[in-house]
Amino acid sequence: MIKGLRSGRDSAYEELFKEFYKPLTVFANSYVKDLETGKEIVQDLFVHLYEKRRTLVISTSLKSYLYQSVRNRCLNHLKHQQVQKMHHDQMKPELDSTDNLEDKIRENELEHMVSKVVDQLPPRCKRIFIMSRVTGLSNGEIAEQLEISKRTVETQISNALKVLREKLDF
Amino acid sequence: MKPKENFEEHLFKNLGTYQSIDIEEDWQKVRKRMTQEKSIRLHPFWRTAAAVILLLGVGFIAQKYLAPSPDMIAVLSGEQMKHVLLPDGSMVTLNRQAELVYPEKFNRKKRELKLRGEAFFEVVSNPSLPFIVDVNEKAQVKVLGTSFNISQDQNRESISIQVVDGKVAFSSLEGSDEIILVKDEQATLRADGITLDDRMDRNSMSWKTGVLFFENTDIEEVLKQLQAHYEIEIVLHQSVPDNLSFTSTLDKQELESVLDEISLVLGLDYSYENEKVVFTLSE
Repeated sequence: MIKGLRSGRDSAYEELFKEFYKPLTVFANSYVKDLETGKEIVQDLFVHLYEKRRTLVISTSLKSYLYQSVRNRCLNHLKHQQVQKMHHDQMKPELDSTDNLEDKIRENELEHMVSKVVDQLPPRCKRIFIMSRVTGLSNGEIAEQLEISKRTVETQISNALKVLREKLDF
Repeated sequence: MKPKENFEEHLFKNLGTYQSIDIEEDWQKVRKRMTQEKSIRLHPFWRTAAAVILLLGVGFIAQKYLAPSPDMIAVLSGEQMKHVLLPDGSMVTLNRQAELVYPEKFNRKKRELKLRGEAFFEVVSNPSLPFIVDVNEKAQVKVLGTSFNISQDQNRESISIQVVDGKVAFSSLEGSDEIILVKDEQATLRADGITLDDRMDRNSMSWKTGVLFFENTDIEEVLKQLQAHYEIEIVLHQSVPDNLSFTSTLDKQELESVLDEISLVLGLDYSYENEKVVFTLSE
């Protein structure tokens, strides 16, 4: 893929972007605690990568490079923010916590896979699953809102989990 | 892998965030920014050319072209002014809608660039390495180390050079005209050749410097320049006499403060009407 980038093939960029954008944005979000800022940081990185593609030397894997760059950009962003003392106090524990990049990448990739599997669920199943695990509604509340039986909700959620277990090999 | 009991807790923490990101929308944003700065590789052409010559058996020419020829970089400024740092440390500021093509590395004899549109150049002095700009494939500007501005009329029919510092040779690529310009001089290339202008139009650099000069300038002309600089339509109400003139140096001023100043000096009032500024005679 790096070769594709260096030759400036635009589709290589699109592939790269689509493969890494979401997990990198979520990763950035875990530092800056603001999704829009996270998106901006990752978008800036991709534009930078494009501009520098000719001279870019990546000594590690592309993946580690991307995650490392996002982390550096996030830490820089936070450093700038620390001018305000209040933020400083809030951010400090976050910056000090020793984070193992490898672990974080693995965790992130897993989450990304989960999201991709969820995307492939049948629409109704997906909707119920999101209401349950993202919105945090109880099965009873979901049943009420969708005007279906609580039993159906339970079945759909266990189906979703079953698919996830299969696809993610748990 | 995490132990099974952590399955849910760990994996669904960010599911909502993942689901909320619109990857297509954001890809379009990034793609748009990518196309703002697009580089062109020219050297595969030269490689082919060199190969053809080699086949013809003209070895010594082939040798010349087979030497690694540098990548050309093209910078398009698009909707925004853009600063470009050249390989020799010279700085070019492109006005909007301009294009600059230059090699990733200058060769050992001269620094050659191609420009379309308007730009301000601050050239690092190097007498042994002339700095040559081809403008619109019509004119050529040659310098040894100086700062100057290249401007054009709206229809891009004429090309002007304003020299801020140093010495510049300005020539037509078609004719044999050449003129040497020094500090504070301006020359213009039109269809009939190059002429040295009576005075330098300092305002043609205002996009770069942010400074506008007016000295007993007709109000109509002042408004014309302000319109171009601030990109807003400014008109005179019929109540305003058209023989007014204005003198001032506006140094990076906000539009509001400029309008206030003109109103105060000329005894006018202004108001916004349909995104236009209208000057009326003060009551």
